[in-house]
Amino acid sequence: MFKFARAVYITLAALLAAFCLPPSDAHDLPYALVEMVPAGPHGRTVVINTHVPALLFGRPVAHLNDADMAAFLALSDERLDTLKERAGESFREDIYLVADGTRIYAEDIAFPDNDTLRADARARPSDPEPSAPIRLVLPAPGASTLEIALPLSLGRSLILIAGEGGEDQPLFLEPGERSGPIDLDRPGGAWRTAQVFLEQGVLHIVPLGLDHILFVIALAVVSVRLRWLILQISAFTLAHTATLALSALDIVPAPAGLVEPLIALSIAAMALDNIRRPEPAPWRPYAVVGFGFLHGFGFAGALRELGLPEGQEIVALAAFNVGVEIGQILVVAAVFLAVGWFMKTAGYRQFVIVPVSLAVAVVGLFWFFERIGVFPWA
Amino acid sequence: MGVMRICLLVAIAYAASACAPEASDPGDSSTGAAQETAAAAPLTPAPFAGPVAPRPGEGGSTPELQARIDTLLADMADSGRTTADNVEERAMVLYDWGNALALEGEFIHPDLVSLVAMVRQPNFQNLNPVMVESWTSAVDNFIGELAIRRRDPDAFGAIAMEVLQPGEVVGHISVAMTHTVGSAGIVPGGGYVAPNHFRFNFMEYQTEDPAAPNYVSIASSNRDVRFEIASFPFAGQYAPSLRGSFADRLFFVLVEGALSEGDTVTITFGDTSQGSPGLETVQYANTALRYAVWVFNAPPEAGGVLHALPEPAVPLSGREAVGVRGFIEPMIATGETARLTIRAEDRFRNLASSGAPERWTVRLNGEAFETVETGGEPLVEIEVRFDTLGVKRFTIESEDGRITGEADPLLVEDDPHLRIFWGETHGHSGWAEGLGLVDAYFEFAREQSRLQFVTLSEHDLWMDLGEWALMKDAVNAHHRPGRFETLMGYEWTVDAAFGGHNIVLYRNPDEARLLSRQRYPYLEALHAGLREHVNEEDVIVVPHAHMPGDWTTSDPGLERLVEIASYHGQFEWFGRRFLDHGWEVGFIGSSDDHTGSPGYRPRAYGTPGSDGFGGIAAVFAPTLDRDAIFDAMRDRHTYATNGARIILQAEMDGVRMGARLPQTGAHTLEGQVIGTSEIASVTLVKNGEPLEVIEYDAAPNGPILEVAFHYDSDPGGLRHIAPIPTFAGVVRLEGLAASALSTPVAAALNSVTETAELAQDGQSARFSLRSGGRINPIEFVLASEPEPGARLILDLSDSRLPGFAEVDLEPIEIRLDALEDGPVSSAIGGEEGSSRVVVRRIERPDARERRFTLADPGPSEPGDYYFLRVRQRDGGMAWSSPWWVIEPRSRVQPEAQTE
Repeated sequence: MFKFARAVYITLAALLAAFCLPPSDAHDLPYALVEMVPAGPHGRTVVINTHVPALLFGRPVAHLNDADMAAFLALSDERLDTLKERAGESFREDIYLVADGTRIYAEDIAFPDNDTLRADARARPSDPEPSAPIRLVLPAPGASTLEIALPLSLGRSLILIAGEGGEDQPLFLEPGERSGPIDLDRPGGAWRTAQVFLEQGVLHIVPLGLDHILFVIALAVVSVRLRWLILQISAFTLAHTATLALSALDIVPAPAGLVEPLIALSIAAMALDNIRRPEPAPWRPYAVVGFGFLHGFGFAGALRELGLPEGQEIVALAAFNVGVEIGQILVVAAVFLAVGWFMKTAGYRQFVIVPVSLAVAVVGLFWFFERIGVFPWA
Repeated sequence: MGVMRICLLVAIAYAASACAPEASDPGDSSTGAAQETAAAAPLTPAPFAGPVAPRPGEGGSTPELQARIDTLLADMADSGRTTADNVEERAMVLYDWGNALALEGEFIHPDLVSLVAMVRQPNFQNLNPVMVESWTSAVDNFIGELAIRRRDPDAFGAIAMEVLQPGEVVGHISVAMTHTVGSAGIVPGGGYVAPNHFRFNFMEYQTEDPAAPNYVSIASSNRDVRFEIASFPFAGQYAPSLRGSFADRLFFVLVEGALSEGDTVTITFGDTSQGSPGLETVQYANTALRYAVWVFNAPPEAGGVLHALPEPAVPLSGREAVGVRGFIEPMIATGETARLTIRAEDRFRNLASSGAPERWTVRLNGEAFETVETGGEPLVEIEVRFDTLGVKRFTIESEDGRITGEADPLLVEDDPHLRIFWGETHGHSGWAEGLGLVDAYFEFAREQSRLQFVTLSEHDLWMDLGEWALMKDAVNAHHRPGRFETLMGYEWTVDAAFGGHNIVLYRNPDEARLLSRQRYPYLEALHAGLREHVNEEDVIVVPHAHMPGDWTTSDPGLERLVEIASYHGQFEWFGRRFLDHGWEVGFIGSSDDHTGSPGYRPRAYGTPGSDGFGGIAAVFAPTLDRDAIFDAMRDRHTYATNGARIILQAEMDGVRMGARLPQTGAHTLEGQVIGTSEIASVTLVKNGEPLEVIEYDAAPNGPILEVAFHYDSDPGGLRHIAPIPTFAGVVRLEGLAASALSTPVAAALNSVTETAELAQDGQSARFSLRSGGRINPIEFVLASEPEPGARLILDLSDSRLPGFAEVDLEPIEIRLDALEDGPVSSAIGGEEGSSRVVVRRIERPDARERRFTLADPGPSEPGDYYFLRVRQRDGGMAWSSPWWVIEPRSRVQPEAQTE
C-alpha cells in the first residue's frame, strides 16, 4: 500500500506545490541552512537546520502558531514516527544529489527525537529560528564534484560546504533550485587563495593586530627623517618575514609561551627608546630586527589558526605576508597623516613623540605584565 | 545556537535579496546596460507563443486547438512520456485545452492551470530534477485525463451534494457528496481523494473515531466493493501548505471489487450517524464552502488518471446578532439622497442569522432621528437627505439597548465638485484560493459593506478561462451605473523573484484580457503583454506588499498605484520604496480578503491576530462611473486606509494629492480629516521621514501613561513580507499605580488574541499584543502623580519577534521624570528600528474631526516628495497619495540599490 501511495505522490502530489504563499502563511519566511561537512570514509555528513516540527506538521519552515502548536503537541509518538518516516522517505527521494556525475541517495536520515521536537515546537524565542536539525549522510567519499537540489518544502536555502581546509563555500539556492556541479577540491585555485590570504594578512594588522599597530606607531612617530623610517621598516619587514615563513612551514618552531609577552615588551622598549634619546641609537635597527623575528612568530601563530591550504602553502604564505605589509603601510600612512605636518616644527618631540611614546610604552608594559600573568584578575 | 549560525541566517536573508533581479535606476543611463543584462538573466526562456496559440485571455475550442491536441496525442503515442525538454510546449497545449473545456462549462482540476504555471516558471529548467520529473508526470496525468474526457465526456460520472445538517459558523456541518460512477469505472488501486482546503482553518478530516468531530466515511451502492483508507502527503490549495508538507490527505483506495457506470459512492463529510457532531466549521459565514472529491479510475501504473469532480457550493450561515453596524456613502450634496444600510452582525462580524431586533433606533449626531422597522431582517436600509452641511454621524441601537453600533461618517457638502468613493481593488472568492460564490462577492460589496466600486481580483495561478468569462458576466450583471461600479481585473501571481504579486485593473470589462503568468511569467513580460493588447490609458497595474512587487523597475504608464495596506498589515515602507526609486505612484489600500467579504472582513480566522483592519481604496472623482473612477486611479487621485473609512481631504499649495507641485521652496498643506475614531496624530512625511507631526494627544503631564509598540513592517533586504511580531510580557510600575488600563487598538481589532490585564494592585500588567505595521498601545490611567524616582520596567520575555536575531530581551527601564521632556523610545530586539516601544504621558484625544495646517518651511528640491499620514486612536490609519516637487526623481544611490 505504501508503494502505491508513494507512486501517487510522485505522479501527482508535488505538482501542487506553488511558490505563492497563501495569506495564512503570512509569516512564512522560508529558509533552511544546510551544512555539509566531510566525514572521513563515510563521505559527508549533512546537517539541515530548519524548523523541523513545522516542516513535519505541514507548515514548512515557518513557526507554528498557537493553535498549530497545540495540535502538534497532541500528536502521539506513533504519529510523529510516521511523519518522520514519511519525511525521511521523501528526503531520500527528493534531495537530488549527483557525485562525480552519478546520482546518489542520502543515507541514515535522522530526525530529532520526539521529545526534542516537542520542546522545539514550544520554544520560539525568535521567528523564524531553526530547531534541532535533521542529519543525513552523503555516501560519496572522495568525490570531487557534487550537485545538489533540495525539495521545495525546504524553501530558500543556504548551503555551506566545508572544504578540507579553509573557509566554507557558501551557496545560495532559490526554492527547489539546482546548484550545478560544485568543485569539492578545495580551495579553488591559487588566485582565490591569494585573495583570501591577502585579505587576512591586512586584517591581522588592521584592525586585529593592535600590538603590531602600536609597534609600527612607535617606529613611525620617531622617524622624522625618511631614511630612518625606511631603514627601520625594512629591518622589521625582513625579520618578521623570515620567522613567519620558517615558523609557518614548520621549519623553526616558535618559542612557545615567550612570543606574546616579548612582543609586548618590544613595543615598550621601542617607545621608551623614543623618549630616552632624540635620535635613534645606531644599534636600533638591530633591535628592530630582533623584535621583527618575534612579531613574525606572532603572525605565524595567526596564520596557523587560519590553516594553510594543502598544496598552496607558499601562495598563501606570500599573500598573507603581502597583506601584512599593506596593513603596516596603512598604519605608517595614518601616522604621517595625523602628525606629519608637525614633524619639522620645534615642539614635535615635546608634544608628539614623548606623549605618544609614553602612552605606547604604558600599554606595552601593561600587556607584558598581563601576558606573563602578573595581574591576578587577568 | 551559536552566533555563527545566526550570522549565517542573516546571510541567507541577504543572499535571498541579492538574488532578486534588480533593474537600473531611472535616469541613470550609465549603469543601465549592465543592470539590464543582469536583470534579464533569470528571465529566460521567452514566453512560449505556440504555433497557433489563441489570443491571450480568450481561447476556446477552435479547429486549430483540436489540431494541436491531435498532434500532441499522436506525439505522446509515438515518443511517450513528457520530458523536461518538451514539457513547456505540451503544458501550453494542456493549458489551452483545459481552458477550452472550462469555457464550455466543464469543471477542470484547479491545479491543472497552476501546474502549467509551475512549468512555465522562468527558472524551471534549473529546478530539482525530482520535482521536474513529478511535474512532467503530472502533465501526463492531465493530458491523459482530458484525453479520456475527449473520447467520452461521461467517463468520470457526476457528483451530487446533499446537506445533511446545515452549518453555522464555529459549529458543525454534515454534507454528503454522492458520486455516480462514469463509464471509465473504477478498478482496484483506484479510488477517491478527499482533499481538505487550507481555508478550513487547517481542520483535519479523520476516519478513526466515528464519534469524534471531523469524521469522514465512505459507502457505496455496490455491495461488493471494499475501500481501505490510506493517506499521502501533498501540497497546494487543498493541503496544509502550498509548498509541500508531510501532513497527509485522505485517500479511499478501492481494494476489492470494481465500480462500474451507474454505481454510486457517497462520501459523508462530518458523518454524524455514529455520534460525531459533524465537521467543524470556520468563523466566517459563506455562500460556498467546498468539500472536494477527486477520483482515480485506476492506479497510475495501470494508466489511471486523477479527475477532480465539480465542487458543489455548501452554504454556512452566521450566528445570533450581537452587534450592529451602519454603512453609508462618504459624501453627498445637500438635497441628495443617501442610503444608510443597517447590518446586524454576529460576534465574528458575519451577517446575523438570527436575533436581529424588530426595531432600530437611529440617532443623528446624538439626536433622535428615526425608528426603523426591520421585520426581523438582519439587513435593512433607509434613505436620508440633508439640507444642512457638515458631518453626519449615525448611531444605531436596538429597542432594548442590548445592541448598539455606529455608521461611518457622512459628509454633506454644498455641490461638491469632487467626491470620495470607497472601493476595493483586491479581493478573492472561491475561484482561486478563497471561498465564496462570485455573485455573492459582488452582492456583499454592494448591499452589505456598501462599497461604491469593486474588483474581484482572482489569482491567475488557479483561474481558468471559464471562470474568467463567468467573472466578466458577473461584473456586468452586478454593475449599477451611478451607484455601484464593477471593474474587471485579476491578480498576476508570481514569486517575488520574478516580479511579485500585482493587481491588473481594466477600464472596460469587454476589453479585459487574462494575461496570465502561464503565458507572461515575469514582470517585463506582463508589461509588454499589456502594452501589446490594451491601450495604456485603459489599464492599471498595482503591486502590493504581500509577496512584494518589484520597486526597482516599473512601467510608469501602467503602474500608477501601489497598495500599502491590506489585511496582511500596513506597509507604508512599500510605498516609500517606490517613491524613493522615483516612480510616480499613488497609494491605495485593499483588503485582499479571501472570504468573499470585500469591504468588511469577518474577524480572525486562521492564525491569531491576522485580522488586521484590512484596507480600503478611497478615490476622488466628480461622479460615480467607471471612467471617472478609472481616470482618478490613473491620475493617482486616491488615498489609502487600513480599512477604517476615514474621510481625508488635503491640498498642498492648493494642489490635490497625487500630483506635482509646480515650484520649489516652502510648501503648506491644508487638510481636514473626519475619522471613525478620535484622531491621534497627523504627520507630514517628506522623502520618507516625518517632517512635522501634530499629536492631538500629547500632554507631558497628562493623566495617561501610554506604552506603545511600534513596528514598521519593513523586511529590510528581504523581498518578502516580514513576520508579524508579538510583543508579550509584563509591564511593572514602581512608584506609581494605575487605576485602569485600556488597549484601544487591540480592542478594536481582536480582543480575544490580543490582551492586556492590570493586576489588582495597579502596579503591573501582563500583555500580549501584535503589530503588522500599526502602533499598538497600552494606556494606563494613572491613579496619582508618580512619586519621585518612579519608573516603568518592561519585561518582554514572552515576545516573538521577526528577524534572525537571537532574542534575549533585556528588560527595558524608563524613568517617569524623563517623560517630562517628551516621549522615550527604546528599540526592541536585535534589529534596530524595526520594533520599538515608545512611552509617553498623554491625554485621550477627544475629537474625531480635525482641520490642520502642516508646512515645510523649505527649502525643497525637485524630486522631493511629501505625503500625509493620519492615525486614529483605534489604530485606523490613512495615507494620502504623494505630492512631488516639480517631478519624481530617484533618491536611491546606484550602489544602494541592492537593498
